[in-house]
Amino acid sequence: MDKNIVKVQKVNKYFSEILVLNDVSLKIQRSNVVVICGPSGCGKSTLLRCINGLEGLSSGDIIINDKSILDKNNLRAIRLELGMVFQQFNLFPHKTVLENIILSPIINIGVNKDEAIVNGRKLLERVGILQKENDFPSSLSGGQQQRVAIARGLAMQPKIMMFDEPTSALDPEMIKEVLDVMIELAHDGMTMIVVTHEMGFAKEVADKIVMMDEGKIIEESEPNDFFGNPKNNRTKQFLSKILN
Amino acid sequence: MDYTFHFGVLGTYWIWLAKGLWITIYISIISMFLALIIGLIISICRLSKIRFLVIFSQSYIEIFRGIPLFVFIIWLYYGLAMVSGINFEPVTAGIICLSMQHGGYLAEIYRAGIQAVSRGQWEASFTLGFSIINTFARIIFPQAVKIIIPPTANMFIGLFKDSALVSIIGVNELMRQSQIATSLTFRPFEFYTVTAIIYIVLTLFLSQIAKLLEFKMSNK
Repeated sequence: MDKNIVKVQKVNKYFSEILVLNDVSLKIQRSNVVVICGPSGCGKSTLLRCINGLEGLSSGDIIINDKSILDKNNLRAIRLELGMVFQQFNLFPHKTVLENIILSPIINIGVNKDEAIVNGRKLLERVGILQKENDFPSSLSGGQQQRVAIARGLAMQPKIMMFDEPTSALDPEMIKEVLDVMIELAHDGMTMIVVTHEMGFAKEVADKIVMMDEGKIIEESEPNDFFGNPKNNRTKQFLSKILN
Repeated sequence: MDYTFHFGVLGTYWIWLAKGLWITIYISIISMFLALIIGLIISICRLSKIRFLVIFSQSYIEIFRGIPLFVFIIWLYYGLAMVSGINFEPVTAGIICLSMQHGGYLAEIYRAGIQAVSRGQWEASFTLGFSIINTFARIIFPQAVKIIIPPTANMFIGLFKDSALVSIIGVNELMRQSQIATSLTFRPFEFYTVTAIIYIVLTLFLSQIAKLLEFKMSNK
């Protein structure tokens, strides 16, 4: 078994004429947490969206758990192994909290309903929100919605969880409750790819931090090196802005 | 003004109007049902990424929105029958015209409703492994329905009133029955007043149902 569960290989991505990913290569090992940061428009969200096939590649390849994303027949299998949490939560507003969580396991994996409910409740308990199981998402705070979104992803028992700026749409006092859930997940050994500006989170749990700028990966290092001894000037600038 | 009202004639002819009303309701309900299905199919074609289907649906919408219902009914019933030898029963011809035209209107309403559901819902659903059909049926459409119901109810009111036009090809619906009764009794004011009131009452009834639905959906 390849120790790299995700291999991004020389990926280029154009939006019409604009090059948003420029020869990006990245390897992610099982159970590692990789944090991707960089200024807005640097291509970090696009990279996540390429990894789960929401965006097609212009060239290059992405291999998830030995399956190439280029093969359309793999797309669904890959998506079942990849959980994704969005900045805007994207819960289904016409379903209750519990329904949001159990719908996909029932339909897409064929879990029976009772089992899905038991599992769903466990997950809700884990993210600390079981008391809201019968509420609709609109009645929850942003932080609560995002925790439900994480539980919804986990319900599919993915091998990898991806987070696209999961705390950027949250009020400051709600950021911690979401990060706490993510930190616990990291400690449990989940492979995670996290696009975020939360450098405290990166310091605490990241195995690797990737800095992107203008569609390129300009720095890739362990947290100690990244914060203590950044090599790239652009990284230094970015850190000085974001840490002050 | 030396017109004397004789609403008494209604005592003899009310059964005519009642029969006409029954046919009006029958035509309207079947046409509404078919229009819902046609509208859904056309709007899905319109939103698909398959070029042929997009062109087909756009043409459909433009053609059936552009042709006056009056012209369409006469064209289909008299014109098409002469060229092709296909003879529809008047009721069938009426239902075809009403449902095809209103299906085109509904397609645009559906499209607007479906597009009003945020892109993120599609993406979240795809990410969870839902197929495109399941995403549409379970995630997108139920949300779009809320947006679609009020304008659809308006459309139905329009369709119900438009059904009076099929009287021109001899369907014995409410309007034609009152025309016949008028020609027998020379009492246009009495019959057409009652006919108008019947349309208004039924329209009110429809709009109440629409309100109720809207209320129910918004509480969900």
